[in-house]
Amino acid sequence: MTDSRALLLAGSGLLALAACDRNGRDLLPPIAEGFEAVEEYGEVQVLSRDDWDEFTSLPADERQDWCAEEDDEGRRRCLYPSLRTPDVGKKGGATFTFEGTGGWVCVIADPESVFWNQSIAAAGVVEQYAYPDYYNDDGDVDLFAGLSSYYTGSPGVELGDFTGIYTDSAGRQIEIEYGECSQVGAQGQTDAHAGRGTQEYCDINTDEREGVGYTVVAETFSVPLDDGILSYGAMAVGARCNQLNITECSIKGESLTEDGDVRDCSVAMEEAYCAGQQLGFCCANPDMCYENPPDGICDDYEFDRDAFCSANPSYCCD
Amino acid sequence: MKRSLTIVLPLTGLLGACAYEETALNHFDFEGTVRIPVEAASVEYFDDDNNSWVVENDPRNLGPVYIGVFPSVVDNLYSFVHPEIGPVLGEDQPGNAYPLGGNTVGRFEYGCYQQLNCRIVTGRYTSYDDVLDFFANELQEPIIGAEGQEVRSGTEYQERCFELRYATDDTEVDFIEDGQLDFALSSDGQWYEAETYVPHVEYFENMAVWGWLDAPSTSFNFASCDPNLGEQIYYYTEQYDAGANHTDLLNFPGLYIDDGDWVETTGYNLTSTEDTFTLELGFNYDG
Repeated sequence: MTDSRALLLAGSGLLALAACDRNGRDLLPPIAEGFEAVEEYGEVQVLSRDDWDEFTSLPADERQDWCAEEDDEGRRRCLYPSLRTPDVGKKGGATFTFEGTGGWVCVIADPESVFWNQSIAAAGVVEQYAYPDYYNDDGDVDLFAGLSSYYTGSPGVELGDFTGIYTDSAGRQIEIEYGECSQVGAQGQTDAHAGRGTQEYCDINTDEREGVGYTVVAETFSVPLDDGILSYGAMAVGARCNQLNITECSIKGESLTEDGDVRDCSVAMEEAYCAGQQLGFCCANPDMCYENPPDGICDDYEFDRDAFCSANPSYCCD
Repeated sequence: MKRSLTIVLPLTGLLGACAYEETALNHFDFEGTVRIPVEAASVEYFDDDNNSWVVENDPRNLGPVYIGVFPSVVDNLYSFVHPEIGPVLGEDQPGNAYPLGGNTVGRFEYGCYQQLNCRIVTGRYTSYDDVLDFFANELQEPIIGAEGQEVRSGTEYQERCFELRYATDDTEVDFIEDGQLDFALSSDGQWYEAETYVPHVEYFENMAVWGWLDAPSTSFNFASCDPNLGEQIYYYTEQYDAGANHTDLLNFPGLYIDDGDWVETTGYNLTSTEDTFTLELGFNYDG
């Protein structure tokens, strides 16, 4: 082989190596310093219907403080946790407990922030969903709950579940699910969980278990890629969930910065979403939505920012 | 020579790796006999005006027989012998019986007319005329076709089934038996007997075979069938579910055994993998 041929081969090889510089790390959220992957938040109050009404009518920026107020027993009203990405091979998430009231308790968790699927139909695009969501700011938690006596985890150290083992008379060991947080999916499937940015809730019947401890687990399913901090709101309310009309806007202001402040413009995005005004919101605040929307989408819908912001000042951020 | 050896040896090794035999599993088929007292084939029916009549000694009265294999049976859960159950997890549901396996003698089958949903059991009828006769003359409830007229002819019934089921032969219509029916009268005339088996059951010594007959209600309906389950029928203007058995019958038998059903009295304990069982459904539950 001549020297020039060898050089040509080596050069081509190096070029090929340079083309393989993608490592997929951009699909992994960063590890946020100063945050835990597994947290235990202790016992919270079971809110009354009046508390719930008061909470949902508060401005979003006052809700964290309202939640942090403790009763005589040091129990917070509700929680706005922030967690980091769990360590490789381990489950992350937060736990808190509440005492059975003897009645129904609705457990709720709403991860940041808002998510919707883009409408991409060739004809008949749904205007509300035409502008794509920026999904890198969305997190996802899966909600589980049951009697604390069945919980297998070590609060604050290691996440567990509510499974137990039943041994029948033949000696078979059968795994039994003692979790009581049953959610039904849109197609009627049981053991369902909502997706990113979407609230989860379930009914727990504490009949004849007044004063008995329950554990709620909000397991980390996905952490936002933009900052590596998964924040969400969580609470327990003494009612059936279907009496509370729970929506994306029931728990607002759950998208938090590293300092624990409500992320700028995130509440406006939630409110616009709940009003079906995502398109106008995204055209008015493109930094809050997907960075590469369809070309000219706002023009297609003859969007006028001044007119929109004049009519909906709360949806327009500076 | 050396080269051929290097080829033969790995091949031999590969053959050795294929020595797996399914018989190494601890799962077996168990054959047995189900016996139902002849009285179970006599049922009293009521019409809407509360007039009653008895269809005497007719095996077409027999619903499906459900057979399960369980770790054990106990007599302290219900007023009949019932499989042992696991933890009770909710106020509306008993504990799961965690069956090891099971089978049925007869099962619900779509009878080609909506009126027959959850009312036709396989292994009970020899012909279409046999079905028409039972409903018209014994149950006093003639089969009414989609056009609102009584179906009187077995040929018409057959044509309807062939058209709906895309069938070309009676062997494709499961509820018409061209051979022997499931149950035959015993030589002493005291029992209806059926040969059966439970397939592919993990064996534990002394595990119990147990079962029950779902007897019809006084209007010839069955507690073990859910009319909202099963195949969906779409045929011109007809749209409905064909009905099917509940999916957790062997997990929660006590939920489905109701008035008039016939239940195995002791359970049969299997003591070897070659054991054959006999079930005598001798207890008539009266609610």
